[in-house]
Amino acid sequence: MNNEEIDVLVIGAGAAGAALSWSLTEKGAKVVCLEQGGWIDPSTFPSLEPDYETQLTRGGNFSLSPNFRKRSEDYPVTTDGENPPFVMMFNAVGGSTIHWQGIFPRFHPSDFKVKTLDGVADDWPISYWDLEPYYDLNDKMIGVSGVAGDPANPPRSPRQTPPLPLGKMGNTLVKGFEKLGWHWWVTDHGIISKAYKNRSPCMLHGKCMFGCPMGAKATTDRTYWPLAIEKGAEIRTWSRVKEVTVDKNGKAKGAIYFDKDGNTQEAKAKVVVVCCNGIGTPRLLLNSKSSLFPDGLGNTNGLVGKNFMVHPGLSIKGIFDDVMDGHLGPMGSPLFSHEFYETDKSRGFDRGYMLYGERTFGPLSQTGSIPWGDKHHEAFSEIFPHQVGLTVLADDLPEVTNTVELDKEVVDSNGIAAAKVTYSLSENSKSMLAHASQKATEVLEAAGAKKVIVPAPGNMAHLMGTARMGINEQNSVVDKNNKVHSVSNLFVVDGSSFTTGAGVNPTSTIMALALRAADKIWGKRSEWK
Amino acid sequence: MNNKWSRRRFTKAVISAQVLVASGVLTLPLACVETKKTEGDSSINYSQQETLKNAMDEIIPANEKMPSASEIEGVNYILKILAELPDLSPLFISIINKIEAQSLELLNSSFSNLTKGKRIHILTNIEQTEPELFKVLKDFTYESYYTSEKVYELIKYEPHPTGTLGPKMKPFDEKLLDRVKNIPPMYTKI
Ligand SMILES: Cc1cc2nc3c(=O)[nH]c(=O)nc-3n(C[C@H](O)[C@H](O)[C@H](O)COP(=O)(O)OP(=O)(O)OC[C@H]3O[C@@H](n4cnc5c(N)ncnc54)[C@H](O)[C@@H]3O)c2cc1C
Ligand code: SF4
Repeated sequence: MNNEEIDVLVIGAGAAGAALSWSLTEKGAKVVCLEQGGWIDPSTFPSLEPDYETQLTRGGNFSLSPNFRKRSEDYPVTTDGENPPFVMMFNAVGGSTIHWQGIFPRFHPSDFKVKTLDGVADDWPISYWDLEPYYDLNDKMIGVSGVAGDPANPPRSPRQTPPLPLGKMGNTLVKGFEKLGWHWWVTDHGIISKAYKNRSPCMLHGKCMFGCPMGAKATTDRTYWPLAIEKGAEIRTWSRVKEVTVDKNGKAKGAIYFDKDGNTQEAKAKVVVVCCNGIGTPRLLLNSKSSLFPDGLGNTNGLVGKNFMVHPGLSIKGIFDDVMDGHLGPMGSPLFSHEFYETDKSRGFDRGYMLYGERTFGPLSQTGSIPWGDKHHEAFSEIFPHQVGLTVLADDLPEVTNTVELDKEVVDSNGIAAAKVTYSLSENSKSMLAHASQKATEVLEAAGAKKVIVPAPGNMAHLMGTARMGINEQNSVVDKNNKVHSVSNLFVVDGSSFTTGAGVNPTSTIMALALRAADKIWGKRSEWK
Repeated sequence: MNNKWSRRRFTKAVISAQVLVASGVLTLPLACVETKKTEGDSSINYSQQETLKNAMDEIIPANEKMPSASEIEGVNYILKILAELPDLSPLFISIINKIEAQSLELLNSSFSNLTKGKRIHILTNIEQTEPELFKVLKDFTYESYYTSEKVYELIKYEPHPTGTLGPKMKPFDEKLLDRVKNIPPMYTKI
């Protein structure tokens, strides 16, 4: 497509960029997507090799963190704060879905109204019901495995494919939850258990984080992009955007980007949509300085990069006498519990958390705490294959002090300032994690664990909040349709636009928001110039 | 990554991988290729390899069921890594030199001539004084061991790489949800 003909310029080809580009192309818009990475060759996936775990233990070019991978298309992310996060993302066509586990819950209706209900943070300017049709559409597009009827969530349409197997470890957790009489449900996954839309069903290997060559896991290079491209969308790979440009009236003009040879190019469009994730998006907006926007685009109120959320978590493990084979089955989660999801002030914190069964990697990554020397084999045989993972994912409320900024010294391979993330756990999150670790221990003990290991808190790969949605221009960056307040044709569509983080994995909500934003952008096409 | 990897090649590869894997024809080779290195073409010499072998065997010793690190070709594994990542050689040489220097300094003997108890003493000492250096040796010893097909057999681990058919698992039994299905709605209606 010629640079002058573009209707919508999308930046970032991950979960959000793919869903949005497909929807707009399907409606008839001329869409070009600039993506800093390339297409990933499935034959290079580490999951094809038994020694894939070395990607975790010593890094490699599929390492979860861009700071370890150091591919030329990655950008460094430096960290600071009391609890500097372990930053995980992938930069390619498909974005971080190349790595993701496919755990696919939806937000609860209460997650959109936390100020009204609990007096904390802010309400979203939209409700669950505004997003519901888009959750459904997205499920149909990618194919979800699971079963409807969960009492902890509003009713939802039948899942496209049946649930994935629980396995020994999942069934063991069921025993624990049943003994305690607590809520649990089989997890919705963006992993198909039966063939769906020309994709093969899951073959239960595990290792999904290191690439699913089968295409059973819904990575957007296998779901939305082929459809969007067929309809005329264009992805320009190896195109790293340096800045979004504006005209003299403050409208977005397009973007300046580095092509694969390191030359700068300019693409112009009627509408620009930034889909670079909760770190890449504020980084790009802050790097887009002009005389009209000297502090970066969308940053007139200084909120771009503020309120970074990343979901604090605990990977709790129960050790059992029986063989649990926790490494068998897709690397998502066999089941989850929302027993402690909605606020109960008597617990001493606001909002709540999800507990979910999490499968283990193979033997190598289970040796981290195994001593060397004479006790080695005994200690190893106690935990392998006897571990059951029960992970805590805590609601992360926005804190203005948790931020994404530009690093003053470090740059990427094109010389563009890197991102710097500062994060500290709030008192609310600390209390929530303490409660959750007790409750997870109770489940594992009720399931028969002889020992429970509670590690220090960590974080998820969920990047949110840094260009938040709101009604009030003073305390938000985008409006309820994901449009940047101060720029009439610039949109931010990804986890950055989350007003609050909820206590579940974010991607089904990111994709539903992208499909909704596409409708809103298309609805205003008469104003495109 | 190859910059020339294009969408057309991507689609072709995806289709053929899906077909081959689904039909069970494509079974990718297990474990990394063992390119046996001889001492001659290695960056660490024979006596250094001997020190490495003895140290690795204290980190993962044999017991009645399991072999030691060197019995599953742990030293060869490290030599192979050093051939692939030559930048690591100085690190390994410095670990080995440290082990030998401490053996001489504290016990007036080469590491290989020490008794088991004394070797452990030296390694414990290095672990305390040079924890990062020691961790490199420990981590690579663990890696060599727990990526070995022989060890997989002994610990009954079937790796199921994604190029293979995957394990058999019982389908989900919806009856398990009978109790939970009857819980009244738990979410806040708003
Ligand atoms: C290991 C792992 C496991 C996960 N598991 C789950 C899970 O089970 N469930 C769940 O809900 N979520 C999970 N996630 C998170 C999920 O992958 C993300 O929420 C989702 O991919 C975010 O979508 P996005 O489009 O906002 O960003 P991404 O998918 O990260 O895509 C952003 C894209 O923008 C591109 N980009 C950035 N800056 C520029 C620039 N300047 N110029 C050009 N291109 C640019 C990047 O290269 C990238 O391709 C996981 C993530 C990881 C890493
Ligand atoms: S277990 Fe399923 S989702 Fe995971 S890599 Fe294998 S086929 Fe893909």
